[in-house]
Amino acid sequence: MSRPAPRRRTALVLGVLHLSSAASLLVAAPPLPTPSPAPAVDVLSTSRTAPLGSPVLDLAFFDDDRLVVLGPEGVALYRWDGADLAVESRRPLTGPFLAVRFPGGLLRVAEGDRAFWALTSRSDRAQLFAFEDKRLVERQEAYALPWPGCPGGLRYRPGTNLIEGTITAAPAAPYLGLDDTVPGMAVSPEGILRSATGDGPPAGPALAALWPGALAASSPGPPGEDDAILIVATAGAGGPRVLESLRVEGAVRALAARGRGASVRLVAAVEEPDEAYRLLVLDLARPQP
Amino acid sequence: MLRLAAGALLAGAVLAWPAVARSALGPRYGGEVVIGVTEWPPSLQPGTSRGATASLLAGLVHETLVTVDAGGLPAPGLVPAWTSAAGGREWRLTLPDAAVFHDGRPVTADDALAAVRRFLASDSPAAAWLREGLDRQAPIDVPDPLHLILRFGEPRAAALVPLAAAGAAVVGPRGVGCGPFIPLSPSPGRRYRLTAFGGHVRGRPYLDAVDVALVGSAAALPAEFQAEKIDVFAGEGPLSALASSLILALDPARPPFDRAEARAAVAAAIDRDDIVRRLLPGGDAAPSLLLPDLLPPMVAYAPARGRRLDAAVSMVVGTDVPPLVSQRVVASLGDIGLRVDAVAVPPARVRTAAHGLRLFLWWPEVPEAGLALHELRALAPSAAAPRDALAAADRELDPERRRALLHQAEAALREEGTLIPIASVPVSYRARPGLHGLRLDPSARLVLEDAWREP
Repeated sequence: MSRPAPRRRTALVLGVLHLSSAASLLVAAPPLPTPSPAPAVDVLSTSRTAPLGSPVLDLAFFDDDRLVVLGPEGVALYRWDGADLAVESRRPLTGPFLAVRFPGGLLRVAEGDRAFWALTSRSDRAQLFAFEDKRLVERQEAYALPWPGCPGGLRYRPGTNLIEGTITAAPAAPYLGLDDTVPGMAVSPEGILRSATGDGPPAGPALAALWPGALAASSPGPPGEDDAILIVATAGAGGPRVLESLRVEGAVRALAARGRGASVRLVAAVEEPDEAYRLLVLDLARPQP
Repeated sequence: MLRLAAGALLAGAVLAWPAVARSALGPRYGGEVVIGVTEWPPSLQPGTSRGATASLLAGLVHETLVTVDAGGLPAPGLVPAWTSAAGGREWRLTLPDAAVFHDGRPVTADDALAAVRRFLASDSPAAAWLREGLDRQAPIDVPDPLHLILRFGEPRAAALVPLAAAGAAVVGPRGVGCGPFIPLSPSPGRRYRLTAFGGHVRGRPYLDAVDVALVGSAAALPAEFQAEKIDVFAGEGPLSALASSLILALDPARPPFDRAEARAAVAAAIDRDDIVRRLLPGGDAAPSLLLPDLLPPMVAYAPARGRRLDAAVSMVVGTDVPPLVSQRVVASLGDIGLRVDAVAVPPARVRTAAHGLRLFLWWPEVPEAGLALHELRALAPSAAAPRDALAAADRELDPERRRALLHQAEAALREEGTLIPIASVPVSYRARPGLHGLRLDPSARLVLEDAWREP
């Protein structure tokens, strides 16, 4: 059997160099040959930010050029300015904050309304923020996070990062991971990617849709193992399956993705071994036959 | 502005990772753990009993106002912060306004005051030390529901550290605790079941429940572990720390130990290195009375060989001392002519038993060198030298000078020969793979509030 010819694509294993923040330009990485006969994704480029100064609980694209970053006690709206990410506005969440050992957080963007909902396990209230006059303003509070197909909304089980609520056409709660870009799927407390119709592969709590039939998920790796971003096929016979795994230095805590023409921009919030958080930005493309 | 640093893509590269990295999935909420133990405390009330299981349960059910860090300094417990005033004579502790007991009632400064008063009235060595230092006119004050003020007669080193003693835990009416787990079965039997406390001051623990199960004997623990009936037990494992000192105490009021030469002969007769090498794996032939983590030893302990004795003496041995170790000690004493009649007694009784010799495992009530030496001094009558050095250390606020004074006190106490250190003895735990976040605190107590299980 002949070996497939190497393709010009990026590696299966993703390395993130520790460069100083002075390296400001997003540089396309040199494409490397790979022995993989059937790559599921091409990594066109990677870059990462300086440490953010706060943990990241969830990420969501606000529009093509803006990213919402949810922390334990505040939200921030970042905007791409060429190769840089700039903070456009920040707002603190309303306290008091509950003591939790490992907080969870959830964002839901209502893009048409130029607003988003935010909920963390440190508070019993969800907050709606709008982007007006280039700044975030708080518009509303609710005792549950409004969610598609979930009339009662979502809440955190007190003291934990487990999400409770009844979502139509989704597996039963509680959930460790949910994302409104991946309707009908959730990560169970046991770390299994589930749909209403069955179980998929083990996965961590972070999810983001890449393109129809594919999503990115954090890995279910235990301490001491390499963490990874999993590329998962959600369509096709046999249920969800992992197509590819991109190794990452640090723990992937949140993911968000957005189509940009032929490519997809995937942003991962990565907690590094020294507990600093950075955003890792990957531009991905589906391999062309 | 956050600059984006360009990344290179490395095929097959091995990235530099530390030995312990955080995982994507964990820490994870949920799951249960069963801990196998071989001793059973009579009560869950703070300070009523000592031993590994009592200490484990106290840490699960109760909270003290402060804890002690690895350096012997006070660290946050129930109280996250404190300030000092009046040149170090006044200490103001601020309770978190969200602290609640297991029954949902708020923890107030009055509860803290009641805990301190109960502690001061107890027979705890740490309480005695605290009592002695407090101002006689206005020792404790509660100005409002969130603050407790302690006033001392003069500035004191380690002023708040006694409050880390298990007996100083803050409890509500009917003994309700505010620790990370709620005990479900109030009467002790063969198993305590404890569930996660959602209102814990540092947040709900990850595990849903912890079971503490009594297993017949230490020999049965590995089989229970193998059969998956228990997940954690005290046995050889990677989670290990030197936890206690094996000490032979001599009563200087009884012949032949009323003579310093006889005490020196006993100290020299015991081959500490041999006992550790053969019988106490992971132990350390004690170079001092205190564990190395409490007070790093200054010099090697090598008592000079003395002359032969000819006497019959009685000895009590704590039942937690491995029998082979006590037999080896008795044999060593026989080599210098002492005819020893040894009797095993429960650990709680051995310290106060009236016998010429007492062999016991000792661990400090509070893991701080100064308090530990005070506690040791109370175990055997001593002359002025250790007492004076300890008193000077209590007044010394500079950490380095205080440490030097504590070394002097330890050496003076050892010089008297009434307490002979034999070995530092480890406590080790074996845990099932996939169980993370278990740790030992500075007193080698197993801590589970940050433990979590892989699915």
